[in-house]
Amino acid sequence: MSAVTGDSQERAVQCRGLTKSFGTGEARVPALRGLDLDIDYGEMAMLVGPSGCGKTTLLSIIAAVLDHDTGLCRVLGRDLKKLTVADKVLLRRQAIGFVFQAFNLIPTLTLADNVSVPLLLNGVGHAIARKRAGAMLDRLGLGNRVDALPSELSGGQQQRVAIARALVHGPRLVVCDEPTSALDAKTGDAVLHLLREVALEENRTLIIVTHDSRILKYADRIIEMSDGVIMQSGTSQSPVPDTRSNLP
Amino acid sequence: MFRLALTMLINERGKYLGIIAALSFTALMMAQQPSIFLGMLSRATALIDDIPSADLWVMDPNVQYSDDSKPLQDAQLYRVKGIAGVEWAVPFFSGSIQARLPDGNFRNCILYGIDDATFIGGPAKMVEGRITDLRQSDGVVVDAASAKGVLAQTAAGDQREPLGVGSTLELNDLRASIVGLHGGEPNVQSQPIIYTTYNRVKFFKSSDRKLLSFILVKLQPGVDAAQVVRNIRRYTGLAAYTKAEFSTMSSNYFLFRTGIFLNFGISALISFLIGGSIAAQTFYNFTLDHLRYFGVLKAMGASSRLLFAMIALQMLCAGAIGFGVGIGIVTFFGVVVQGGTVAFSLNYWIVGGAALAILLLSLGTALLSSRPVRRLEPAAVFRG
Ligand SMILES: Nc1ncnc2c1ncn2[C@@H]1O[C@H](COP(=O)(O)OP(=O)(O)OP(=O)(O)O)[C@@H](O)[C@H]1O
Ligand SMILES: [Mg+2]
Repeated sequence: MSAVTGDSQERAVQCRGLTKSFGTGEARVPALRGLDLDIDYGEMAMLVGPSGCGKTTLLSIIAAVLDHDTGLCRVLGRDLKKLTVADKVLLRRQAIGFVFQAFNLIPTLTLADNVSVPLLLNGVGHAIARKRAGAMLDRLGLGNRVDALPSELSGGQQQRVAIARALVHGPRLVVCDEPTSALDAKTGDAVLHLLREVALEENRTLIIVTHDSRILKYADRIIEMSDGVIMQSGTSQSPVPDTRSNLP
Repeated sequence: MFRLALTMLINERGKYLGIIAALSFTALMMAQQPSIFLGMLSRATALIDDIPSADLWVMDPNVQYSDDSKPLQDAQLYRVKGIAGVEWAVPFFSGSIQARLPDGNFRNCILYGIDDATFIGGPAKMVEGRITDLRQSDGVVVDAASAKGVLAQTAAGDQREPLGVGSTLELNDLRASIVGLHGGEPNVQSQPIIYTTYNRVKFFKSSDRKLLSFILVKLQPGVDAAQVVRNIRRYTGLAAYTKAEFSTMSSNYFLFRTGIFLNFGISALISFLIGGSIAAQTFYNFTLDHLRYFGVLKAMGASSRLLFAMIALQMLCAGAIGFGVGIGIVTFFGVVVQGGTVAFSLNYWIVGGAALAILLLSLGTALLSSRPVRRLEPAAVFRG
């Protein structure tokens, strides 16, 4: 394990001077401007900030679906700049779980099939994958709906299925972009509760981008971004500025 | 993942059935049109192929195919008989004649006149009666399919009454009585095929001066066919071809001098284009509808190659089912029309050709449909 200057301990995510721009020339939009960030293993970090400040961009880079321009980004001990496309595909497949705002369950597949996908991608046999998917759905309170289609479920239930899918293959890092914004307050709260309970086992790291200040209480740490850099980082017990006041 | 890929497609019932239906149509037309064409082609040479004992066919040099008759003088028969290497030579008439049915309807028929003494040139297979029954006065032999079909009388109340042994019809206003039914198929134009003796043709077609269409020649054992052909040309001025040559000539004429090949080719091609584009379009839309989910799979670590394999499998499966349904229908069609007036001949080449067409179509569609998936950035999953 290669040591990073100034750090005695390997972190789950480590960014130094991270930059990312979109477009070229006149239309160039800098989304990240030399951002520094550390997130530990076993930590549930929430990323907040006004719209367009670069939260999704940062999350995409950390999740290895988007390449950054300059700076360092180490995720789960790997320097992303040094990974090939195939390496990144493998990293995502084995080590990262995804939860989306719009659930993104495949509508023509049953819950069990949807949750099986990460296992199947990792070469697990169909029967075992189904069994493990069923067990994970069970833990999220949907054990009796394994053969239902996503369209037969409520939004909160669908997001629980998405969480099951993000966790089933035991990834070390789970990234969530606005997981509660399509849900009402009560359902959102319940989903976060469950996410915290199930996801944080095994020293897993969770990064959640959110606009929803009601769920901030679940975070170990709240990272506030503004205009492509980190403004402030603190625990949920310490006072956190109300991010909603910055919204249009 | 491949199982899930198929489930994804099958559960999209409407699109799935649409794709299968379009592919079935394509396979059906791709097999049925060539089958009918091939059936017609084999009818075009049936006369030649069905007379195995004739080694050579002698005819006017301008004749191009078996139904193209340019009559010779009867004396030519005796000249040919006299040529060295000829074992025997018999006259053969091929022409058309108007048949009047008992109900007063007219039909254009093909009339063949065969040698009175030997009956050489007669039909390959008799269904009822014997060819020697042609010795009976006014005797003719009609193909069984036409006897049941186009020649059947539509007398009282639209009831079709098949002709049989003992029935009569009028050929050129002269009475002919059916003494047998043969198993040959009607000709390319689905005209009935009537056999009688060469001398009786002179009676039915008394207005025609010359009736000798072909001279059928049997070679003596061991003689060189090419040498006899040359001699016939030299001494009579007539053209002579071996059975195989004349058969090829006739089918080539049918292939290249008539528009039929082109017509069938074009209709098979149009079917392929229409059915194929509907199937491709529907499948492409299916993929576009699922683009977001392919993106999710990509983000979750599915390689582009795996996604292509999933898409190809979906399309190939639909192709295989469509092919099965299409060929099934064509085969059923073939069984139904067998022995009837519709020419039809389905062989493995046609089935293989249709399979290849569907395979290429499926692969092409999969390739086309996987393009947007391949271009999809995995980061797109977090946007909109
Ligand atoms: N693919 C892209 N092409 C061009 N510009 C982009 C692209 N993605 C993001 N941007 C720009 O980068 C900046 C940061 O966008 P990002 O989506 O990361 O913000 P965000 O904090 O997630 O906003 P929101 O809270 O609205 O989701 C914005 O100005 C955005 O317009
Ligand atoms: Mg965002």
